[in-house]
Amino acid sequence: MKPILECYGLSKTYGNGQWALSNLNLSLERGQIVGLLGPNGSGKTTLIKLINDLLTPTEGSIQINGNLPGVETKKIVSYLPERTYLTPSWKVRDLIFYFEDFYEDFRRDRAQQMLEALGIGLHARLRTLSKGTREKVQLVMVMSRDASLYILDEPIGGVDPAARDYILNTILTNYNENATILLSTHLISDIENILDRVIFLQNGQIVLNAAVDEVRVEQKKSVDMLFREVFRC
Amino acid sequence: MTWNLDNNMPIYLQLMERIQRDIISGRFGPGDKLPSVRELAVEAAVNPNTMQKALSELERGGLVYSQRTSGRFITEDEELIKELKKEQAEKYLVEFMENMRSLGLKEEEIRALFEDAWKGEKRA
Amino acid sequence: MLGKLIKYDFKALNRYLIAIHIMLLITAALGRFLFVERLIKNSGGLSDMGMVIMTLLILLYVILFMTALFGTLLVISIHFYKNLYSDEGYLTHTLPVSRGRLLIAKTVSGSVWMLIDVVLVIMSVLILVLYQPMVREFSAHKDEVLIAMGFPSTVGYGKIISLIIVLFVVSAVANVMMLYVSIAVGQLFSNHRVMGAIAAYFSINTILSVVSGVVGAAYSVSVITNAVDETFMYQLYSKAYIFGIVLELILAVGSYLVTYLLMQKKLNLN
Repeated sequence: MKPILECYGLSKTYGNGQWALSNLNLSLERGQIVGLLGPNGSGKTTLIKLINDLLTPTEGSIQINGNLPGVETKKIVSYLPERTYLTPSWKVRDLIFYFEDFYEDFRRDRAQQMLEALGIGLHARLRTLSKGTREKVQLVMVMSRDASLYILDEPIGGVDPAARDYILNTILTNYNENATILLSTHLISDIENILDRVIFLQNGQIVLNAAVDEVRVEQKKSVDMLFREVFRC
Repeated sequence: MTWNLDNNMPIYLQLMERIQRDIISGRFGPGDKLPSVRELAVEAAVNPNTMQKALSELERGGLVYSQRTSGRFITEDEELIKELKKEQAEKYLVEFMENMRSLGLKEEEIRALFEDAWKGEKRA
Repeated sequence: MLGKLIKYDFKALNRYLIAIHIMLLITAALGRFLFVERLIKNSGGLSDMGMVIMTLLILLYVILFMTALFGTLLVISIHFYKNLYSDEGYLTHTLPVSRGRLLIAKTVSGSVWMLIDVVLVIMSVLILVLYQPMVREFSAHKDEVLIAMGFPSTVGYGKIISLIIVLFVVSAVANVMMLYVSIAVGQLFSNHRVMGAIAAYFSINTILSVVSGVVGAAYSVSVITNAVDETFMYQLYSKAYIFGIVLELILAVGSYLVTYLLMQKKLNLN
């Protein structure tokens, strides 16, 4: 089987003379949880937007399951942006209908089960929910799809420890064995144990791409420690 | 309810040790069925692939065996478990002695301290 | 998928537009039955209080009239902007549908509402003021009125009505596309994207009125210098209708293509 994600010579500039990504080559196998780590401005968000067809590469290309980003890839990629994209006037169930209308791989029962576990009513208006709850609703929607590639941008940024545990639990329980999760974060120590691999981005380039246990065997230290060393200010 | 894991050692080794300990201590009895990889991974809050690797390693050591359709089981070889228990106990003993010696204690002193502690624990 | 997109676009637009237009029609009907009817039957039969209420009602009608005209443009623009270029865009643009479909759905929903708006606004005026003598007056001088509008008696009613319908439809689509292309152009700015959109909208409008002004003037001059006879008005107007339709068609298609290309190649959500 082809790798789920391949980037060839991927570069992006926003026309200000600086390269947000430069000549990035990457291949992700199926059935992994991969951490995308890097300080602000390292190119994480640019890479994620490129994969989701929200930006066009300046040079190079991306293939997801062998296709360029587009309609076919959006069917199999489930994306959690850092932003809240919910329409405030909608009820939770409107969102469920919306996902059901557009994504064939959406599992309504799974979504309802998770929402129930979180104590979020289907008739609640999104406007009335707290920011944290809205983020959870969004994660539930994204994880209720049977996607091949999940892209989670900062899924645990700014949530309390209990919510963080629930989110990690949600991720671990819901993704299927052949799916890949690409997860960007700057809180590494919290999620290090659930990762297969880590990719360090710096100035638009990959400076490390290794298995977590490999790092621990070779460096005799956690990825978190290594991250702090590599990106020391 | 995540497992307490050390950050600097490979995760799969720690998972192996933890499961091994659960077997020695009797939390999992001989012939018992192990929870699925996914369940264990969620319980430990680790990556399922890492859990899979730990279990495979245990399988190689013979402590766990898998049946193609019905899952993974603890070995029925009680001798093996007993031996492992002994091995582990010896390891702890060696550690214990090393620590005591590093305090500058002589063998007689260690024995006396040990017996005192032993009595104390019995009384309590 | 296209049907579903259109369904959700309508859902968003209906939320505001149905209410605005129902209020407009109700106000027109109230004005008609409370005051205009009375004025028609016996003039001067209103008390002071009645005059005050009538003035307020007329004022309300005018406000609603303007709200319907400009509010519709605004609601359509805001929906387009929010759904595609604000945080909501992160969901809209990652749905498994092509950019072309997204744009077609927005064009259909926006244009249909523009048309409904024009029809209902005209209807509200008719509800308010249309009465029997006016209709009789029009029937009596029908041919003159039509000639003054550029339709000589040789042109059948069917033709006139279809021309007007085509003109309405084309200009509704062109109006909507102009809003969309302005918003899409505004996205090219790194900051102040809404201001950029407004600037783009007024620039396009200016260019458009310059073009139609120049072409119109040049054409009138050429007609006048050639020959002035009884067909003069007709010639001028019929050409003006065709010119208007062609200009709006070019505008609509051009705006559509530019918007599509900008969405496809230059998308850059904040």
